[in-house]
Amino acid sequence: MLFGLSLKLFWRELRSGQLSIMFFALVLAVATVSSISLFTDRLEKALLSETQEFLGGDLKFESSDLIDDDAYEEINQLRIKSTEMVLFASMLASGENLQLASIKAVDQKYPLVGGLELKSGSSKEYVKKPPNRGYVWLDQRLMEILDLKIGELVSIGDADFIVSHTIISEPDRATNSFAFAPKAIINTEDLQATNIVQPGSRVRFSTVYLGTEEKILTLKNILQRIKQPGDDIREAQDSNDSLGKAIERSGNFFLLGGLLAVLMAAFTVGISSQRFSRRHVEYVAILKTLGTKSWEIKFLYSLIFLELGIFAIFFGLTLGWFMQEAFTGILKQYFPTNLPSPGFGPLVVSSLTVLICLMGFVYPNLIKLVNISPLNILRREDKQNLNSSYLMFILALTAMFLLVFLYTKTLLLSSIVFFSILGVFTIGYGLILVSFQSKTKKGLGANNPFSLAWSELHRRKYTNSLQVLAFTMAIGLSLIAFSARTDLMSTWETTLPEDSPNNFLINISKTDLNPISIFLKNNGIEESPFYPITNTVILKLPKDGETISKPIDRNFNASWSNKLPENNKIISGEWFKGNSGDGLSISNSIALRYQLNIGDPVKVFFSNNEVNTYIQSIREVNWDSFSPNFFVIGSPSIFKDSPATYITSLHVPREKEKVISKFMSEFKTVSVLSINAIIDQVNSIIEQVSKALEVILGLTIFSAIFLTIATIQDGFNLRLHQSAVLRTFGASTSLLQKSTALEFALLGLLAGLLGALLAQLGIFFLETQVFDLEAVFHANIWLIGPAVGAILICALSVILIVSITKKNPKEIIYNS
Amino acid sequence: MIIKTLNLTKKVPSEEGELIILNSISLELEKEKSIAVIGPSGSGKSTLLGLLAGLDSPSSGEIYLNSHPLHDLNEDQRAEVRKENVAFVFQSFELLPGLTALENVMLPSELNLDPEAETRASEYLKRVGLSNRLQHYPRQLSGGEQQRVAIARAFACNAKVLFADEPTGNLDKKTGAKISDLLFEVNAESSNALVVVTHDSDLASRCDDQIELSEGMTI
Repeated sequence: MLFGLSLKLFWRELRSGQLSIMFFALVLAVATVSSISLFTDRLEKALLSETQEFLGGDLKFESSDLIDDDAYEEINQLRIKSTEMVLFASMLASGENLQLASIKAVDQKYPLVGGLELKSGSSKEYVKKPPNRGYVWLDQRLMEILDLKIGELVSIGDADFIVSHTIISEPDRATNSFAFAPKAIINTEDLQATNIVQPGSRVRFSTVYLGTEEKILTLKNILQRIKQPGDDIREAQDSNDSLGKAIERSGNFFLLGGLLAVLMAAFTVGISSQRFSRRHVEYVAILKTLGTKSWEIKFLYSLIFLELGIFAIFFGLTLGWFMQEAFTGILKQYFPTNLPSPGFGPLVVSSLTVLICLMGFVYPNLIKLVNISPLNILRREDKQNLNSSYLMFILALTAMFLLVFLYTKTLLLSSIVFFSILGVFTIGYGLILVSFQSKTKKGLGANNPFSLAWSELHRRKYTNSLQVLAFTMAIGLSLIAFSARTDLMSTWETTLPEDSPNNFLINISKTDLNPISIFLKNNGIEESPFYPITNTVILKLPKDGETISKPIDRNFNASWSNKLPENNKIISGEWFKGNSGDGLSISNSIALRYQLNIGDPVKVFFSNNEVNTYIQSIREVNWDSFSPNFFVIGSPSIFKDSPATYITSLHVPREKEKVISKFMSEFKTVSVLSINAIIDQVNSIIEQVSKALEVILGLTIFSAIFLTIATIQDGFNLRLHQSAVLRTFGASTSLLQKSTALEFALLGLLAGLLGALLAQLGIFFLETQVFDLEAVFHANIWLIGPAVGAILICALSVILIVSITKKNPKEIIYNS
Repeated sequence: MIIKTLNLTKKVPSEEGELIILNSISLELEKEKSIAVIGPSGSGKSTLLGLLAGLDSPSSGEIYLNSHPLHDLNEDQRAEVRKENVAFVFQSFELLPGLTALENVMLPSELNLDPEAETRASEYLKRVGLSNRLQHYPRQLSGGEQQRVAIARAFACNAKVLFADEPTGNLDKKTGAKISDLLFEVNAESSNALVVVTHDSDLASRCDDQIELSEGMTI
């Protein structure tokens, strides 16, 4: 019976529009959560597959020697997929043309993941196999330098190869040794014929493995055991490339936008349910006088809200699915393969969102509704008590934190959002109470709009402060979303300025430095600093009585300089003073990984030298800068005897790209790596993300409007009766409309200021803690917040007061 | 003549077509006189009161309140007429819960820009026996006390006509009798015209005239 009654009541309420705001807010919350969760789930899966492709598998081991037989056998027993490659640098010859290139000889199992995008003539191919014997695949740039065409012959060592394809993209490219040189790929079976790999040759043997997490861990332990200085073990999650970071950041942006929309939807639901409860007190009182038990009433109303929740989930999920399809459509071009299908996790999260909203924001109102005294209600004495309580406050706060945490799964982001809101709310609440505490004049001040508005602000300070806090939430979170779309995006974009370096010059000998400077000057290309590089092995030395838990035994391409490179910031210790007491400066990631602190003694091995020194400073390095960056920079005094090659980066304008080919012909031993494609891709992602963010911003604005309307509606319920009484005694509609407009403009202004404060705080933490950007003061939000707050809230209040004053006061009084 | 109506009719749309609430009512009320509107529930008493007070507009017919043609005025113009001429006492008191007794009584005087609003309100509250309840909020007063505040509010604004809709309807018999006495006493002192809608035959009998409605028509 109760189920039937609940359905009947639910339909009636839904059809009459009384549940509309709550219903739409819930649908919006579910649609937002599901669309973004579904999308980010697919994005994360795609990212994992991208990082696997970036490495070529789950783990890569690179060494100058072949893996010894015992270890090889042990690894074989793991039955893990693997592919072996031999990497070396060699001259390619075609007629009179010669060019140093990076050669990769691959076996039959290559590539383990993903595939190669190749071009033959005008047609593109996506292949998942190695080149056939006797054939070679070359970089486009190599083709140009050697003046080769598809089908022509090129010599590598003693063997001739037919050029069958040019390489557009390949898995594992950027992680290989010699990767900076133009690339040629041949089949391992042709390697012997080249006669290049001889005992003593500088060759790297690389094996890429693909397997389950457990097997990869066992493999890693074996490899760690056999690892020699100079050997390198890399895992997919070590990937730190700009593209991956760009995609990861875009996921953060989506998450943030969605989170804000969901929070506002939750508050809307809370406010609307309070209004719903207020409207139902008489109904509950009558049910109680007719003998309905409290648990039956609680059950009845729980059923009504459950039905509301189920409807909202259904419509929200449908809408969310279409939205995530649209987001996927926008970004799918950046993934080489189709985005993976989403899991069921996001659907569970969406449903949990509704449950938390109902439990945290609706249930407290339900409890209070059920606990009312029917006598008091029928005598119209107790409606005020439905307004607020500690239970409501605590449950709402708990629900808010749960929602944030459920959605972000990040304690940091959850805490930032939660405490920013809580802090601003406390400030706002205190400010309103203090501002409107004293009231010197008696009466309602109904003789003019100003005094009436002022009197109302004093008289309603408690309800007003709650309204202001809801408006603050709407404005503040919208400003954060707006700022994410505009300021944060442009800050992100400026991390990639127009003149970002787009080419690296590598393997420059000391004698080439001057001629290169002259070449660049003659061709109108701005020169950047040249950094010397040498291969080093660094060993952490124990302090007295200390055992080293994390020995460093890896190679670093170290540089040395008296000047702190651009995009580097000392975060601990001090930069070199230029004397013999200087040591090493390391990046913060290396310090963290190897537990290195300022003053720690280390031994540096480089080209037959050993130097005992110490960690003098720790740097924060902006890896997004596309400039040469180093994990280790030494004092020039340490490396004064070291042989070195040099590296520099250049910004070559697109219209001068031909200069690069000219450069390569002139400086044949210098390798040029173009990163234009990566820069284009990152820029393009930023552009597409900003488009998708507009959709999220739209959702956030919708949520803010729902929240504002629900709040004003709730407040106006209380005003309906007052306006009718005032009009009965002759108050003009103009007096009521003007005073309301003034009152709400002031509340909107206050909420706008608090919203700007909330947004500024939130953005500050997001910039510094979440997005790794530099914090800036956002003057625009301090103007937009109060202006939009005053205008929008004033306009909405005028719309509602006009609708109220259009009603016959007699009807309101007789029906209230 | 403070009130005059001519063929006053009020119709409202309903699912079964147009519903006639009042049908061609004509009446007159002299200054300082009182009239009781009686009749069964649903006979149109409260609708008539609303029309006479300018709270609603008729479908047809004419109403004059202190010579103002209410049937020709819009809501704001009627509000202006109400402000200068009309006071109300409702069955459910209609006090504003956020205002004290004193502030509730001051309200109509404030709307009339009366600088003496507070003094006058204080005097009338004393007159109705609530001098010790000036700063009390409605929820702190009994039903009888609330209705006394409503009466003080009605008289404090120097209106020409006092409209009382079931002023004793929410009160017990003893309190109702006291309120009834108070209403007529204060009205006599103020020289107002009084229109009372009531089921209470004792209250109706104290009026100078009576009009009985049945199904929207005078009997």
